[in-house]
Amino acid sequence: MNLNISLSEFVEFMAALSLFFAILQTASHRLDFAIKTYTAQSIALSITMFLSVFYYFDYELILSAVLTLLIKGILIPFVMKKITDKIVEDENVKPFVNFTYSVLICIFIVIFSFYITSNTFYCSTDNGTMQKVLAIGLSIIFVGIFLMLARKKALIQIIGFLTLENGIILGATSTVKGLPLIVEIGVFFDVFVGAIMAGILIFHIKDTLESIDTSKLSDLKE
Amino acid sequence: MITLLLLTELIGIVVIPFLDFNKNKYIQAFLQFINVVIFLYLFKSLKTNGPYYGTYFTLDSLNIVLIGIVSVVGFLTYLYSIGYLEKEKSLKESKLKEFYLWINTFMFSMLLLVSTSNLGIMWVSIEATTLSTTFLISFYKNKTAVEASWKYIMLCSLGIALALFGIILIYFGVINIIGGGLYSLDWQNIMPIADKIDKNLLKIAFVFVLVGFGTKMGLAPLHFWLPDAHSEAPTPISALMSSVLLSCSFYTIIRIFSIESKAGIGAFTYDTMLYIGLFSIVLASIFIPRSRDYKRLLAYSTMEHMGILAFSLGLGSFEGIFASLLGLIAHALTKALMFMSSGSILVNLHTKSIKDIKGLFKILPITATFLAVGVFAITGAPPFLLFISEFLTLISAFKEGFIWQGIVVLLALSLIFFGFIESFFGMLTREPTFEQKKEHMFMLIPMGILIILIVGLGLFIPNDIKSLLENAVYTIGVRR
Repeated sequence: MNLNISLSEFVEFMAALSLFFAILQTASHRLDFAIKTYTAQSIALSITMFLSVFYYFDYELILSAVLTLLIKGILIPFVMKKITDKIVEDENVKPFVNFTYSVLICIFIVIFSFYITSNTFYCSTDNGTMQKVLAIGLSIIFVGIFLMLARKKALIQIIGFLTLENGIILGATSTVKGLPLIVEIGVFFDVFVGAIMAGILIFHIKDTLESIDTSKLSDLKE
Repeated sequence: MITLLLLTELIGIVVIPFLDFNKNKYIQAFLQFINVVIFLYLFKSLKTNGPYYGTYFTLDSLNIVLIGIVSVVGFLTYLYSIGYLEKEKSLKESKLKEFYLWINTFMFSMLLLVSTSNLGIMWVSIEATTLSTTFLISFYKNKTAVEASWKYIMLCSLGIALALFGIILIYFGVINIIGGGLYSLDWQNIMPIADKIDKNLLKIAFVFVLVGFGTKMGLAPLHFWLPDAHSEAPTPISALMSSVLLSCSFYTIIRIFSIESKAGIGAFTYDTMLYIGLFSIVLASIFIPRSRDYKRLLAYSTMEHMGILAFSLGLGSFEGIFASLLGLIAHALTKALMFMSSGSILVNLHTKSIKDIKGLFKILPITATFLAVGVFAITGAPPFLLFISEFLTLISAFKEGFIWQGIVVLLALSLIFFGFIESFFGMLTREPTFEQKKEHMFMLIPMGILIILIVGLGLFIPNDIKSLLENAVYTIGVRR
């Protein structure tokens, strides 16, 4: 076994680890646990990107990896932590889909993602690593969407969005070796600002509703 | 010259903290007026020098239409805001500054969106429009405003994130042909090689992009944020969002659409646009007669018009796409008028309920007249501009053989017409439920200008604009 193959296996392993944290997210109920899981997932993503540098020999990815680590691994969790410290959590917010079914649904999501990427993106030169990582990225995207739909707590919905975004970045790393730098910085900036703004909105929700249960936001309808 | 457009917006942001509100509002409106002048200059230079293709910015017959909409409607909204914010006496100075900060950021990101030639930067700026409007929607900080704002940021961020994935897929297809880098995200470089990109990849990418930007454009079934956000935001913002922001989202779809059309997978993309548009029209026609809140009613009307734009683009014939672009301009002007007049009602009478308001002709005579004109204009009655575009859409639908689709659109449009007449004429006529109010000069002037524009263009479209739109149709590409 030469070095190249073991490296590719390691890339796959780290990508799979971030998928694992994404699925673990669906089983999380408490906010601080959700934030910790998100941090772990972002770090795994950052390591995947860093290892991909040696796999693809594209050195712009180093900067992306560092940015991911700084913004998603440190800055966003820090801000989220600040927000959760200030709001008292109400434990009895039941999710729309309970935790057991959530994990089951995640299994189907993963199978589905591998299925739809199996034909389109085959690339014979790299032992299918790219394809596998893309499938994992797509699974993370769908798990993120699922989190946004199936959870009532506003903060977990934000984390669902951030998870989805991590999936997109992973997909981008595997297929196109990362986006051009200006665009990537723009994306990071938007996500960071978006997370903070959604966080501030949670304060407003808490002020007006005295809860962060988004299913209570139901005044506007016909 | 295009960068100057962005520069004026930046100046607008920078001067806010240094001036008090009374000076600020006039200076902001003046800066927007400069942008209108720059737009006219660009329009003229496009006519004499032809399109301009730069590294980051571009100017062709398609995006000049959008630059026009953003700058003209933007300027009129700023004028309108002067009156609107003076009427809102309860707002504090800091709140007013916040308003101008976000609205300038909003205008900046929209101008960046329509002037860039890079799909990546386009994505970044459309996400920036979402972020800059979030706090404008929750501006009044009450329960419903916060709810609308939360729905908006969550749904739109989700949608736009999916669109990013679509763009990445296109980029992946392009990389295999001309290599990676910023220039491979530039649609000027993608267009010539579009037919070499993997067709399956482009199809998947189009689905992601349509779901993503379609959410932002308010196409059914992804429209849930739209009525909430439009009804809760301060009215100048509703006007800007409905007539400008959604047009910008449509523009992003058109850009991707033209790549797909060039690549030769036309039938799939055209049909998808056609049916998603049809669905939006039908759904809006169900909700419009049932609305009890006039701002929500206008929001559903926005959804209907976005549906018509998508429908006529999906027809794919020359007349169809021409009607779509004309409808884009017509809708932007007319809907701005509608939101401005309904905003005057809201700010004077403090109720959004259709039932509570009667006898507007006696309460706010001039605004009510403008509103009555607007109702006929938005429902597509002659001699207004929207009539021409809707008429062209239907003619072209029947000509291209989309018979039942055309009939469904016609039925939906008549249902919407009756819904509008019933709701608004109940508000306008009969015995007044409020005493007469004083109308603000700065709120009437922009409405007057808009009426002159829609009637004038409805009666006579200048040849310059006509040839511009024709060129734009060829940029998009007709169905083969």
